Amino acid sequence: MTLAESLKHYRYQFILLLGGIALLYGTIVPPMVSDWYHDENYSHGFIVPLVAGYFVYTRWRLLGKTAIRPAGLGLAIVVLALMQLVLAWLGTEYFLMRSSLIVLLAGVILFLFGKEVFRLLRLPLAYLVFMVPLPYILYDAVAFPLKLFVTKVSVRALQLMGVAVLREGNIIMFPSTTLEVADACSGIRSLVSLLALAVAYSCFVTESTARRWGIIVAAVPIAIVTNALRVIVTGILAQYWGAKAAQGFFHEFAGLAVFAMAMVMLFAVGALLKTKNHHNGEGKG
Amino acid sequence: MIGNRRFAILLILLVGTSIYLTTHADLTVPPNKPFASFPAAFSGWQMDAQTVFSSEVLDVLRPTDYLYRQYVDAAGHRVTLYVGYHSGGKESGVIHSPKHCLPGSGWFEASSQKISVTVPSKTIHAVEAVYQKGEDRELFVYWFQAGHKTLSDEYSLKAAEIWGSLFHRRRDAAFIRISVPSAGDSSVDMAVARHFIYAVYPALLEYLPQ
Repeated sequence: MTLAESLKHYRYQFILLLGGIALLYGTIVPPMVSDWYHDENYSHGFIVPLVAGYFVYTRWRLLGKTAIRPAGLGLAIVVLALMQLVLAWLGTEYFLMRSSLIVLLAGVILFLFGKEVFRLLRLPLAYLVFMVPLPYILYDAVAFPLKLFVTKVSVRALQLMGVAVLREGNIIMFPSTTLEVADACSGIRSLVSLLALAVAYSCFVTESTARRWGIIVAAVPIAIVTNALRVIVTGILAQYWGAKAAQGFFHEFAGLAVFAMAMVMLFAVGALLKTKNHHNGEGKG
Repeated sequence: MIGNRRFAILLILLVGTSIYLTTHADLTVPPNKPFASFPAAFSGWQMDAQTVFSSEVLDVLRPTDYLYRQYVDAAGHRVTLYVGYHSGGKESGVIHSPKHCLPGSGWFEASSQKISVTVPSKTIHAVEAVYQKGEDRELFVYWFQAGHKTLSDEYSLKAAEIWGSLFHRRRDAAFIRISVPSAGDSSVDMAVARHFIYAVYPALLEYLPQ
């Protein structure tokens, strides 16, 4: 029996199963969606399930024809996912509660359809991890050193350009004003979004694992460099036009502009890796 | 063939877990006495000021009861005490880690280490951290109190909460933080903090459920 045939044959059972999952996650997933809406660090959450869905769609032709071979191992994964959910629920740990849904789906797919189907679906499944906001304790562990690093680099660059600045922690001090490099400017916001984007982009643009990783890894320095640039430009603005210029419209606009620039750089890396591949004559187009 | 048995197993697991999650409610354990009656003076320390949080702050922290006071001793040492008690019931929030809260307002962690503080008949496991904001330095000593246990990291607190909830339907816990504005010498700051903890701990135990 193929996947397409099984979906048709067991349609009522699948509807019941979806109902069971909806019942269990009915109080867990909606607050996560509200986080996407309220926390600017995770506004890309809305796009992640769509991209994952698109990954499934592009594989559908192959998936539908794949023979199903239910695997008992899946049940063990389902049980693990439910244990993860219960323990996280008892400890109000949102990241583990929410990500247990992904583990559960993986288990269900293995248990009902087997390894072949799972292999085809593991990328869209893994991609869903990007929709789960990180626990703040982990987030901060990355954000604060990053914020300090970005401030240091920017101050050094401003000094090289002849701007008189001093740094104290995440505060940049000009003769006339001070600027605080806030959480948002640390680059972690664009880092997470840019990583999500890089994974999606790399999977569409190339089939080579090495090239995919090249693009994904490049997202990290790109996010950091573009954010440092943002801080530097803000610093120059603050120096010559006063703090108001750096904080108002420009600040909002710079966020978007910086992300757009990061995307362009990411695509450039992708194109570069592709060209290299043509030269070597081993490309797939 | 998948077979109906596999669907049945999955449904039973899903519905069973749902039932457990919706019916498992932790007990709400109130503090032994309202914090408002916390002594204003004890062994040489005198209350100097008390802060009442705005409703915005309370909406975020959601403590069942809290205490935010400044105490001074005869030598003029100033100490800020924050106690946030969370009853474990549905309406009380989770304890926020200071690692998240403090840096949010521009304070940077200059150093942090685990220490133990000796009080009568007990050793408290705590964190000693120095935070810096511009020129200002402040020493923080904090720990989480879950029942009779004192915990110095967020992960043990989570584990204690899960364990308590699973077996005793209790996850009430308190966050206790003492801060001392730096006098320039960190060993002096720490001595002030230890001195204060020694004096305040017996009173704390009277207020926190064991």
